[in-house]
Amino acid sequence: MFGPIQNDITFSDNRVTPNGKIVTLADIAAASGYSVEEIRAINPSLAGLSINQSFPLFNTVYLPGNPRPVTQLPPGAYIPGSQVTPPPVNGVVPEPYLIRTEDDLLRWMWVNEWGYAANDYDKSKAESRFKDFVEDKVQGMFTQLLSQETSVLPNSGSAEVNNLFNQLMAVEGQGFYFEQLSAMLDGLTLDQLMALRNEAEKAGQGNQGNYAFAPDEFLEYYDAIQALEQGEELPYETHDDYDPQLALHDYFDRHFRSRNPDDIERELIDLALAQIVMLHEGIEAVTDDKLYDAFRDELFQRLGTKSPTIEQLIACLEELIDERVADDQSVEANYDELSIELPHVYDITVQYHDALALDKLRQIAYDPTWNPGEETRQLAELYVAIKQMTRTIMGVDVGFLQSSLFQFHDAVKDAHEWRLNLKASLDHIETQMLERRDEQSEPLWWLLEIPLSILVEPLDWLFTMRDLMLGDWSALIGFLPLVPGALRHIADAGRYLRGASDELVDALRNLPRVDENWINGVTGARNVDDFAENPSRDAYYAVGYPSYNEITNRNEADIIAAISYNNPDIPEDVIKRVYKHVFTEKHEIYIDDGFVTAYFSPDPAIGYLWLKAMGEDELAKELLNKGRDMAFRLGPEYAYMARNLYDDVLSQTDQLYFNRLLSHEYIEAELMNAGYKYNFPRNINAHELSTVQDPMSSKNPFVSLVNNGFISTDELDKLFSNWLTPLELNGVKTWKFEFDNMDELISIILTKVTK
Amino acid sequence: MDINNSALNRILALKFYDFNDSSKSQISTHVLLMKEYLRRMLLWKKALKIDQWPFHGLSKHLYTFSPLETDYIYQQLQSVRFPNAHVAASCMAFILWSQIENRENVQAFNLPTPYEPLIRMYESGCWFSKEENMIDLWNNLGESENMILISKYYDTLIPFIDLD
Repeated sequence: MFGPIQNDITFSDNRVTPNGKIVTLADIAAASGYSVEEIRAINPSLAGLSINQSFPLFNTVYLPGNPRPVTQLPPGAYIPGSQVTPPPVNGVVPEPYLIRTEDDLLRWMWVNEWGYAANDYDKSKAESRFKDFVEDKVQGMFTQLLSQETSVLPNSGSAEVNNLFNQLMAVEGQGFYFEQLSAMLDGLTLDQLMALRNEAEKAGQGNQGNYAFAPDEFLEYYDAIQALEQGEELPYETHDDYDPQLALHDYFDRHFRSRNPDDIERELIDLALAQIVMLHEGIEAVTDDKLYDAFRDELFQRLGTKSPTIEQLIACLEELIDERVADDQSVEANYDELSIELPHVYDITVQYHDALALDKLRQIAYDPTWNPGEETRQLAELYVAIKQMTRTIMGVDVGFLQSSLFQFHDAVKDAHEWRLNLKASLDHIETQMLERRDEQSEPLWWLLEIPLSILVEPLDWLFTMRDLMLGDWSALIGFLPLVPGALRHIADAGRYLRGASDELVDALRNLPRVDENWINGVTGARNVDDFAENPSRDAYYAVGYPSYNEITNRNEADIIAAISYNNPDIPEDVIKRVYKHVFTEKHEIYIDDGFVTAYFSPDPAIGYLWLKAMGEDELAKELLNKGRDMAFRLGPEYAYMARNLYDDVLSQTDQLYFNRLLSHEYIEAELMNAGYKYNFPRNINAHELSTVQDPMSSKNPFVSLVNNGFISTDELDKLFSNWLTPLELNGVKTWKFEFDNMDELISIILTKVTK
Repeated sequence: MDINNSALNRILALKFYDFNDSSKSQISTHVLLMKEYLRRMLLWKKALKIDQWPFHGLSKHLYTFSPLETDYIYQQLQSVRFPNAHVAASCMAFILWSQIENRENVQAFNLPTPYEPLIRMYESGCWFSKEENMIDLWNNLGESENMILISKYYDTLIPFIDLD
C-alpha cells in the first residue's frame, strides 16, 4: 500500500533516509507493488535511471490492495472522497486531479465558489469574478506586507511589476489606506495582479514559512509507511491498562483518603461549614453534629436530592459559600485576617475540577481507537498529494492553492505531534499517579508536568480543524475544493479529528481553571464561544469575565437607563453606542497572526467602571473579587494586579475615568463605523485617533491630534474651550467632559485625516 | 529567602501623576524603553518556552515564592499609588525578579534583565495602559504615544536603547 508519489522528487542512486535505509528504484517498486519495468513504463523519464543520475519519479501511482473507485470529474463538480477511484496509470496526473484549462477553473468556481447553476455559466462574468477574487487576495497580501515594519522589496519581477509593487508599498501613512489600495488594484489587469501576487508571496516568505519540498520529511514518512507495511512496531507505545478515571480516583485518595462517596460528602460539608463559620465569626470553627445536620439538610433541600453526586455537592457548596460571604459585612475583614489559615473548600474543589480536566486530557492521549502509525501514513499521503498539485493553469499562477494546502498539512501535522507530545507528558504523570509513592502537595502538580504550550497551542488549530472537518472547507482555505483529489486525502488525514471533534473540543474547552487557558474561553462567560478568540492572549482578561458576563446578561435598555439616570449629563446615544462597541460587537483586530474578528477582551477595569456607572457599586466589587480569585491563581504578580484593580483612593476618581472611557470608546466606535480599522495601520487607526489624555494631566484631552498634525492647537482649544473650564472633582483638578461636541470632533478627524 | 530591598526601594520612590515635574524624559525616549522591554521579554519568552508576552511574571517559571514572601512585598507596596493594575503587576514582577536574578538557574540563560527598561521608563515619569493589544504610553509631560503588540516588531537581538 502506498500513496501517490511526489512527481519531482529526485533520487540519486543511494538515498539514505533518516533511519539509515537506502531508497532505490527497486525499493519504490517493492513499496508500490509495481515492477521496476512497470514504473519505467509509467513515466519514460525513469528509464534514464542510472547511478548518480537524478530522475523525476512518476506523477501518480495508486497501489493494488487499496482500491479507490474512480469516476471522471465533470466540469464544475467534485467527487466526494469516498467515491474517488484509482485513476488510470498513464504517466500523467489523472483527470479528476486537475482542472486543465482556464475555462475548467472558471466553470468550477462558477458553481463551487460563487454558487451559480452550472447551466447559467457566463464566461465574461466568471472572468470578472475571478479577477475580483485575485484582487482580494492581493489586497490581503499587501495588507500583511505593509503591517511588517521592515521594508520589503520585489526581487525578481519585471520593471513594471517592481514599480507597481513599490507604489503599493508606499501607500502607508498617506491617508485612507484601504480605499487607496483598492483603487490602485482596480485599475490592474489580471496578469498584473498575478505578477504582484507572486512578488508579494516571495517578499513575505520569511513570515509565511517556506513551503519548499523537504525531502527528509518525505523520507521520514517513507520509513513510517514501510514499517507499517512490513508489520513492524512503530515507535509509539500502547497503553494497556487504561482507567478513564485514574486522576479522579487519585484525587479522592489524596484528599479524602477514600473513594467512598459518604466519606467525601462528610468531609466536604465539614470544610464548607468551617469556612462559613470562620468568615462570619472570625473565629476558628467548632462544628457539632447538630449544626452539621442542619447544614446538610439545607444543602439537600436546595439540591432536591439526598444523594447528590460529588459534582452537584461541590457546585452547591460553592454557591452557598458565595451567598453567605456576600451577606456578611464582617467577612472581608475576617477574610483578610484569616486568609492564610482558612480551610478553603475552593482549593479542594478546584483540584476536583483539575482531576476531571486531567482525565479528559488522558482520554485524548489514551484513546484506544487512536492509531498514530496510521495517522503518519495519512499525513504522508496528504503531503505527496499536495506536492503533486499543479501551480499553473494556462499560464496563470495558482500556486497559492498549494501553499494553502501545505499550511493545512502543517496544521494536521501539528495536531498529530501535539497529541504525541501530550501523551509523552501524560505518561510521566500516569506513572506517578499509578505509583503514588511521594505526596504531592502542589494542587496543580500535574499541570506543571505538562508544558503549558501543549495545553494552549491546540486550541487554534483544533477549532479551525473542526470547522474544516464539518464541511466549511472553502471558507477556511479559499481554493481548497479546486483540488478534489486532495480533499479525500485531507478527509482521511483528519479523520481522527472529525470522528472525535466534539469530544476533543469539549474536553479542551472544559479544562476547568487551568492557568492561562482561562483566557481561551473556558470560564463561565456569557457564552464561552464568545471569548474563545480572546485576541490579546493575556491572562489579565480572565479577571474581567465575571463582570462582562454580568453586563452582557443584563437587558440592554435597563443598562442604558441606569447609566443615564446616574449620569444625566451624558447623552443616551453615547452610552448606547459605547455599550454596543465594547460589549456586544465583534471587531477586526490586528494581532500577531494577522487580522482576527473577535469581541474585545473583557477588561476588568472597564467592567468595574461600567457596573459602578450603573449604580451597582457593590456588585462591581463582588464581581471583581470573583475575577481576583482567578488572578490569585495565576501567580503573585497577578495577585498583586488584582489587589490594585480598585482601591478607595482611586475610586474617588472613577467618575473621571468613566467619562474618559466613554469619550475614547465613542470616538473609536464612530471612526470604526466610518471604515477605520481598530489598530491598523499605524498612526491612522481608530484606537490611536481616539486617544484621550489622562483627565488629571490638565492637557487638552485630544492633544495627541495636534501632536500628529491633524489639527491645530487653536482649533482644538476653540472646540474644547468648555472642556477646559477648570473643574475640581473630589479634590482633583481636571477638565469637564462635554459629550455634546464629540460628533464635531469626529467629523474633523474624518475630514483632516482622510485628506 | 531574605527580601532584597533595593528593587523594592526603587518602586517605592516612583512618582506617577507628577504633572508638575518637567525635568523628565521625552516620550521618544519612553518609546525606546518600552520597545527594549518588549524585546527583552520576547527573548525570555523564547528561552523559557512560555506563551504569555509581554506583561506577566517570569519568576514563577524559575522559582516558587512562599506566600509569606509575597505578602511581605504586598505590604511594603501599600503606599504606592499605581496608575493601573498592569503597572502594579509589572512592579511586583520586577521586585520578585530581583530576588532571583542572581540565582544560578537564572544566570545560566545569559539574557538581559527583563524588567529594567520598564522600571527606567517609570522612573523617568512615564507609564502605560493597555487596551486589547495596544499599549498607550503616558508621561508626566502630558505626552502620549501608542504602540501595537505585534511580536515581530520587537524580535531582534539588537537593543533599542543602551541602558548601561
